[in-house]
Amino acid sequence: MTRRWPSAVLAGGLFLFAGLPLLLLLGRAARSQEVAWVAAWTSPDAARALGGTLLTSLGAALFAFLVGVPLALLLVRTDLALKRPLKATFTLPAAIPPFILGMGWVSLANPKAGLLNLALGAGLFDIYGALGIAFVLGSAGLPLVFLATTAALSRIDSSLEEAARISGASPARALLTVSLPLALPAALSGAALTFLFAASAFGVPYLLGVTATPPTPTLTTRIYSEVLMGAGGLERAAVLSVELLVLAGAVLLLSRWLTRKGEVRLSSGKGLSLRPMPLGPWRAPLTTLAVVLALVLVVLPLLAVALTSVQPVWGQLEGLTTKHWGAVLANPRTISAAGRSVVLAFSAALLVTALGLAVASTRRRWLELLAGAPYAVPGTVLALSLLIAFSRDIRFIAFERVAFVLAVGNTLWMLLIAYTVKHLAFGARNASDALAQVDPSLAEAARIFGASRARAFVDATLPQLRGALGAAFLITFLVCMTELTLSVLLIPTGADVLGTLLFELQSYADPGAAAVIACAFVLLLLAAQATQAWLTRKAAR
Amino acid sequence: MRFFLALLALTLCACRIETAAPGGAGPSASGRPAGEVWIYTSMYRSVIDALEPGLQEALPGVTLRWFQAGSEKVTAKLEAELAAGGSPCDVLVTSDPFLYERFKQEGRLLRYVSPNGLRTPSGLSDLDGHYAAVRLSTMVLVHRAGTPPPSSFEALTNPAFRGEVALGDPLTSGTAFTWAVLLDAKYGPSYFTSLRENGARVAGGNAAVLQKVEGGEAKVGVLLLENALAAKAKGSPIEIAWPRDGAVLIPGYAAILSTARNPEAAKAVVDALLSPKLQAIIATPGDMHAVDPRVPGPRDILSLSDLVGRSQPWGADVLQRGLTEGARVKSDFSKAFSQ
Amino acid sequence: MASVELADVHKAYGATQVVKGVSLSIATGELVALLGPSGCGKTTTLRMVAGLERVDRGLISIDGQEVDGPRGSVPPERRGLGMVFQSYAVWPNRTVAENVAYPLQLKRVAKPEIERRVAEALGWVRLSTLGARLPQQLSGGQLQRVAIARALVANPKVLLLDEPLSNLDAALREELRGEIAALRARLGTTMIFVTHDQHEALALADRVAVMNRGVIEQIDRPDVVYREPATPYVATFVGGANQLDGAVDGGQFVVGEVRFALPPGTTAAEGPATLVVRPEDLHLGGDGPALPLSARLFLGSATEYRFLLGDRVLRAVGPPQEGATPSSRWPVRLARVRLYPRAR
Repeated sequence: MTRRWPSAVLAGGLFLFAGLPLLLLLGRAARSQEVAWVAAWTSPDAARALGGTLLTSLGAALFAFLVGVPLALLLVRTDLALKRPLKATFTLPAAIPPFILGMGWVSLANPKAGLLNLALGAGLFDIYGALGIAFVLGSAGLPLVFLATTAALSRIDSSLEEAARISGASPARALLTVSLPLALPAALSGAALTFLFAASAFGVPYLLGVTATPPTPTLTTRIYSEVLMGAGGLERAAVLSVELLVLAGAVLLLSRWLTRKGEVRLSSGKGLSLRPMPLGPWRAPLTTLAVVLALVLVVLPLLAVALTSVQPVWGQLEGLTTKHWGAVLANPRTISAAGRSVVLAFSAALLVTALGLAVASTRRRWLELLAGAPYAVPGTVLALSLLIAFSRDIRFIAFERVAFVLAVGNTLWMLLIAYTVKHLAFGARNASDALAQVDPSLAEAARIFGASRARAFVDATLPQLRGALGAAFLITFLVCMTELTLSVLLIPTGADVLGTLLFELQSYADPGAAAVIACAFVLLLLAAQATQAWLTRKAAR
Repeated sequence: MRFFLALLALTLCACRIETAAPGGAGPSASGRPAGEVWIYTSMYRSVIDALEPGLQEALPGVTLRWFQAGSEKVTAKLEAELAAGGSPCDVLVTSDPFLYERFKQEGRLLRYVSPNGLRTPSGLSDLDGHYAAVRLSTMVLVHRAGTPPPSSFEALTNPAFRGEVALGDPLTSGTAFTWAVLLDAKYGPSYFTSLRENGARVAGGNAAVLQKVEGGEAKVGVLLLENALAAKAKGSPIEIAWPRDGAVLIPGYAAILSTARNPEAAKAVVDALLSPKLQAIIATPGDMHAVDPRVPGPRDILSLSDLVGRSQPWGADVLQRGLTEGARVKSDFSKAFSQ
Repeated sequence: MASVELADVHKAYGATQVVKGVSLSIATGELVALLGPSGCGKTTTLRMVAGLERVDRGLISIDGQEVDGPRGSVPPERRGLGMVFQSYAVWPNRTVAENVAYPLQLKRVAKPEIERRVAEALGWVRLSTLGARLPQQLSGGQLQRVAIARALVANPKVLLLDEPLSNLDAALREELRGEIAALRARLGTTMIFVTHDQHEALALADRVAVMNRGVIEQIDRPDVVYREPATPYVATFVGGANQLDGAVDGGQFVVGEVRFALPPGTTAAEGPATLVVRPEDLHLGGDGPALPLSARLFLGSATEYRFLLGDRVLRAVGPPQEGATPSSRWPVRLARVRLYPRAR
């Protein structure tokens, strides 16, 4: 029985919607006479941009890893207090456009008038510059590490830790020497995703990098200034994007290589028992620490954004007002845009999860790399390449009478394609990490009992992957709800989504209104989570 | 082989099926504009909403389609579509003047002189009729209320404003770029170095400059007049200062693409934009200057002729300079601020 | 090696009382089996000895030292125990040798010494050649051997085994059971062994504690538990005895319409009672009541017969009997019984 057809179909789809557009863009770059490839790669400007990208992205990945992994350990494997609210809080940054998070930090920690600096003594914090970018992107990327590690940790049977305890390991030691190594592949791939997220981010490096002295250029800000400013920019931007693609490939391969040895099967299928490890005297201090982290990394910038939403004017603390709230929420465009965003984000998350799973279950590494590549392409470049590929109707005429018309340009389909292609990496990475740790004997057992390959997968393997796939779905949904870069360029006329609305409000001198949308979205999420918690508790009773 | 079969099958699956017979749709050839017309613009949504009824009135039977985003993004989308072999865009109404001159030189614009544009002060519109100014934005100085106002752009290099100046980034903001081209022409690249040495801070676009001044990160900023007026109206603690060395005019052009699918309707759009009725909307609520001298300035601050008098001269030479020297200006600016 | 003492230990999860006053004292070098069906509290009891659960009430001491009680508890890592889990709990990302070396590394034993002792422990469980393998390359029996080696390598005071054989197939179970017995004879370690399999318990243990619903119903030598079960429950659970509720009436035991003659020498008070008879003590033939025979199972050394008594099945094991075929009626006789009076 051959299994090459599914791979071929997936590869075809990926090629059509991700590879082809990027190749077209590169083709233009290659043909273009004006573009001096060598200069684009080796000029001092390009070198500084590459340095900036490496510094900020590595910093962000490191930060997300160092904060996210211990948090996941504490929240999954121990009897830390307040687990539910903490877990919800650390997932939240995924729902906030990083740009908005950056705005929050600007108002908190700009050197001259930042609220923290005013409160604690001027000049204590300076959010501008490489460190600030790494910090903000790292806290925005935190859910990528946190959710992936959480999913992996919940698949580890407690007896593995208990065996270590009996062998003479303290709780901390058992966590560090047994659970941590087992969750490391997932954690590292979360960190790799954070790196890619940071390397392809534009809003935050722009907001915090341009203002720094000296400015911190990154590849994306450079690409932006090339694309948007001046002739031949598209080609030069394409050349610079190649740099990002190479970087992305290297990071994905590196994370694969690092985790190769650690990939072991975890679930034997036997109902696994999760007994939280008692922290004893450490419970109170560690809970406090986690709460402080949640406050500083998530709640504080959100409060700053919330404050922005009630300020009559940016930075003015007197005469707080709800006029922005009224204006935004009463606007019928907000409602219709929110509806459209929900449908698009939900569909994209579903597609990302399903396709990611399909890609991962072919177990072909080149396919995984292909699926992960678009995530590293800056949104602007990806959107432009999709425009180049699909903005015209493409007609294939058969038998002279029937025309097949590929007409996705200027429709919401284009946005769905873009969202899915861009975030496919979430689905593929999460699914492949989880699949690598599922015991194939479960599916084999189901097949012996007469289940078809598909049925065996659904009945035996899928339940094991639920956590990882759920994480992929959640994060894609949250990110797509407020996605900004792709949306602005690909939106069809007359059909706003939340992202374009945010962009419009943000860039046209009404950050207050943009803050309202971000706050409203976070409030809705919290309400949804609270309802879910309430329903589970009611069902349990 | 499998791969290509799969690719073909997928592509066909994604398709809609039509008859291959050539279609007969399109704008009617008989006089009155019909069909649909696509306008790509960087004007604010609120301005579009205000303009739309008047436009619709002037173009009965035409469906108006808008793509609205920042100037730079509109250009990027348009160029990507043109690269793909065609854009639906008929009329382009953005605020990057140099783009229009470049498009003209590349032969991408249709010549059309609107009879409604004859009152436009000379030098603002293209003398060959490829593009016409429909609105004027102006880069001015703003300062926090209660702080001493700067007298000129040059004064920003004075120690009195050390560490208190916020500028737009010419590398990523079109209006900041225009400002930089004109200041470079006036004072040379050393102007940027002096700004840097005086601790000026670069922000992204106009919104970011405004935030820095509003939020107290800077006392003085270089900002678009329309943003300053709107902010003041909202209660922002800022004041406008007219630079003695001349504010920087940035004409907002309208042009018809040579590839326009509905040139008749496109011409009617340009006519309508230059009509007194819609020109009045440019000023109120648009907060920009109309190019029709009969329309008073926004919020009655300066008439069109006063504005032109207080601004650095605009003309074909400025446009040419932007195209030839633009890359060097950006590089000088970036070098000055990377020290 | 050490003794273990449990005094009136209680444990509840929420409202469910899982262990209700277990007292047990285990001498140095002794092997005690906790035997009972799932949910009887045996695993919880073991986990409390290990320190993986706290006691709600009562005391646990190891080697005379209190490790859990009202005055606080000693964490598992400082109790100096070894434990073998039902799920093996062999760390999948470490090789066999690394798994076994772990407890020694934690004790900061010198490297050459670790190597020596790991090799020795792997020798005990006959895995000397597999030290470099990863767990996913091993079979279930081999994994459990790794777990045993890991539990023993650091000379634990007490070795705790939680259903160590129940995930294995019958042949492996036999084999490993023999190895555990041999290891014990060699090392003399105190062991607590949790199982639901009476054969395992009877074969391995010095003493068997039969648990039911959170209490120990009987604790004694295996032969005593087998021959003189303290309660009908123990009799039924250990040895699979037949249990009949009826009444003693003039030297006979009456169940419904059927009257059995009690074997001579049985002393029993008149009145309601529960009668327990082992399959090997229920003999075919003689002058007992004839019961319908529902099935005959050939066991090799003996044959099992199943009789119907009302809606109950009575099992008898003995030498094969000519002509005793299913659906015939055969007389049965009680050769030896235990009677437990019942409240009216």
